[in-house]
Amino acid sequence: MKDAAHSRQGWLHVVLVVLSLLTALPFAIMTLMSAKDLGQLTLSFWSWPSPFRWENYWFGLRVTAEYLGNSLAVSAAVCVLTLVCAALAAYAFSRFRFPGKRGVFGAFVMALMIPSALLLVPLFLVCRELGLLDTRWGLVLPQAAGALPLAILLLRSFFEELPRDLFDAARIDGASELRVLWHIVVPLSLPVFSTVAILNLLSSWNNYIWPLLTVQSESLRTLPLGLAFLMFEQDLKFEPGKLMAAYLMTSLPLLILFLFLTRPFVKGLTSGALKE
Amino acid sequence: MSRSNNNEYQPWRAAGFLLPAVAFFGVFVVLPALSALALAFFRADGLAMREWVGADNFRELASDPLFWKSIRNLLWFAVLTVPVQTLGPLLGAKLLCSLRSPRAAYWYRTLLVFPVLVPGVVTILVWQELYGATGPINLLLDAVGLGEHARAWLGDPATVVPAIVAIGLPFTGGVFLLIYLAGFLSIPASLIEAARLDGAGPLRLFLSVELPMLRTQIGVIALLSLLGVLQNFDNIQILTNGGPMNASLTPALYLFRSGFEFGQLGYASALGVVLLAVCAVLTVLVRWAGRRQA
Repeated sequence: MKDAAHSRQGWLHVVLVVLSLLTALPFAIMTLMSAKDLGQLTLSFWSWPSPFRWENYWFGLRVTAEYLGNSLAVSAAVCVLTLVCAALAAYAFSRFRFPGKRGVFGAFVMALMIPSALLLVPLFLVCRELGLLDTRWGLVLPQAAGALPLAILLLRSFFEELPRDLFDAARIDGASELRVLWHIVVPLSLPVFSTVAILNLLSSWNNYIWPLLTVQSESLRTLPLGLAFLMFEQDLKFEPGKLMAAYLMTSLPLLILFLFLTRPFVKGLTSGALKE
Repeated sequence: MSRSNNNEYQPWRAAGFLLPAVAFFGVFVVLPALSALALAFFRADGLAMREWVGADNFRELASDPLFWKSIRNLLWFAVLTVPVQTLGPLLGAKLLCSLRSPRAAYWYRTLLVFPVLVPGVVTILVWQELYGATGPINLLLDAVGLGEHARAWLGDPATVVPAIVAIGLPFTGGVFLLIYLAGFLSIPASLIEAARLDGAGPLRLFLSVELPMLRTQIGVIALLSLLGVLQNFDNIQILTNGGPMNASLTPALYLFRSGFEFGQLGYASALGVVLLAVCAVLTVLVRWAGRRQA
């Protein structure tokens, strides 16, 4: 009996190791390629890189630094804007009664069902009217607005669970509603704020289509856009090593962040997707 | 809104708190959504031309062979994607939960989930390289003597759809895995203990206890996967832009190209309205089924 259980655990490990290797394989190949030049790739694709082409990484960093900076700025702005607006709205939904409450809330929930492709054309026209095309704000504002429904939904359901007496006590002490939100609700809700922030960062960090449509100037390109154009722009058709090095370098920031924040990341991703 | 009765009646305060969110949402979501609905009944190129055409766009859509081709492609994508995306992570979660060592489970989980953190565009571009004419996949085929099967995987109408789906290999990780893991953790230990005492083996336990308890998660993930197939097109846009010979064109990508490549904004919006209707019907159906089961 005991032996059977042992060998079952053994098989589990075998299967999981194989699955892990398969998961990592494309990225392992990317890493292997990133250390080679074209000659090495053509002659001996699978061999250990020797000499190791360190210069590929410098090149990768140099050509993507600007895109990284743009992505950081845009994602941070989207995240802050989403969190502030969603927190205020969620507070109103969970604390006040007012006419039209159900209707407004319903509109936010329904928006979750709209396919993003449907909005692209008219959103483009709106941004053109507002003069937002090819600007940073044109990247930030629509993405923040699109992220609001999910953020409000998650924050509201968390706020509703907070003990009620806390608010009443604070208000009797004469604290304004904004102070209650900032000094009581926000500190108690940090887990859900991190959830919303992580979901938000991942989606704006990965957004490719919207920048593709609105950005003309090279200096405004975000990471996904810059990477998609890299091959033609830098004439790298015959330099796959350099290309892979650039991909590798730009994957690192989030992976490193993840190393430090595994727990909130995992929790955030789960609760975000599970809430109905 | 369970506790709304205890809440204070504060319409002006509420309006103040809601203002920023409602303003953004109104300008960048509601307004575009409504104008998409309206635009579907116009012929418009986004510049000077805008002409009321009634339901012509929808009629044209119904007789557009390219639209129907995109629907067939979509079904092909869905058939290949949804089952593996739904069941793969379930298998992964089951394996992780069967491990006796929590440390090992933690490390395997990290390894299976990490691709979520890699920018989506990087994953796509790396696979593009893997699929290249002289890429590693063809090199490998050559090396093991299957050279005659080497091909331009993304350039062949017969293989382009499976090749795009295969980017998710081995389908056991990602966010869906985390959802299933949370589901497994929420199954009461007493239930599993009781089943064990009744003599249920591992397989029996999985089929008769765990699977029924995970019904909700399975339903939600199947829906999310299906909605993803319906809506996402950025990976296809980057890899093939719908080619070769429109073999990987999906309705969402067709919408995108009609609007921004061919300048037919009205036609694109009509396509979008159809897509919205399909998404809404699917969502309602799945929720309804879920509620009936519960």
